[in-house]
Amino acid sequence: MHLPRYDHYTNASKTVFEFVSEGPKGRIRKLVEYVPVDANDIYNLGFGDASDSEVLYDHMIVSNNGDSVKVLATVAATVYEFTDRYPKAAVLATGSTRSRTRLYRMSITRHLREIREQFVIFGYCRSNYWEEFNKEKDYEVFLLTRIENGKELWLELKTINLIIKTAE
Amino acid sequence: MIIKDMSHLEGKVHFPEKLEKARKILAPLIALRNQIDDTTPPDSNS
Repeated sequence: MHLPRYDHYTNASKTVFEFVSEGPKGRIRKLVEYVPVDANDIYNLGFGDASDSEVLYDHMIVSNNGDSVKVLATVAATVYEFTDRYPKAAVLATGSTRSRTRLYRMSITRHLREIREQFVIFGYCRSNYWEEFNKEKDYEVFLLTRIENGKELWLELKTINLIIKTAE
Repeated sequence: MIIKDMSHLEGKVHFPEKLEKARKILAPLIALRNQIDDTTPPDSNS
């Protein structure tokens, strides 16, 4: 994505990324982490601000530093870097609140064409089923993976939709 | 992107609430993948 973004640091395994947001409220440390979710190649994207202790991070802090586009572009850059390193990965992302998840959806929608050059995105609806991302709809979480894994993941998600529907 | 020693941040879950939510929503997918792993015969060449 060719949007302004912050320089960021990462560890050798590219599972943790850190950068500093700069705006009217000062310099705020941000952390992006990719944590495995109990199954092969599925990771949760965690994202939030450093708290005052500078040891704990909090996903609920709303820093309002006037740079949300640049911050989200930086987080998006980490997704590209992480999946370069772990090309089979499926990454789950959600906001800490409904309004933040909506902000993510709007950001995905704005850059959908570019994102789809390398990724497929699925959305988990509040009525408990998965579908391919539809820019007109709100989702609870997003799951994305590189295009080459898309068909296989979509088959799995369709199977899960069937299981959930049958259980209802 | 600059690689640096971030060992103080590694091996911890900094956003456990989000991970918990992910686990809950992904539970059926995790179960499905584990089931596939259990039923896939090991590679005889390995």
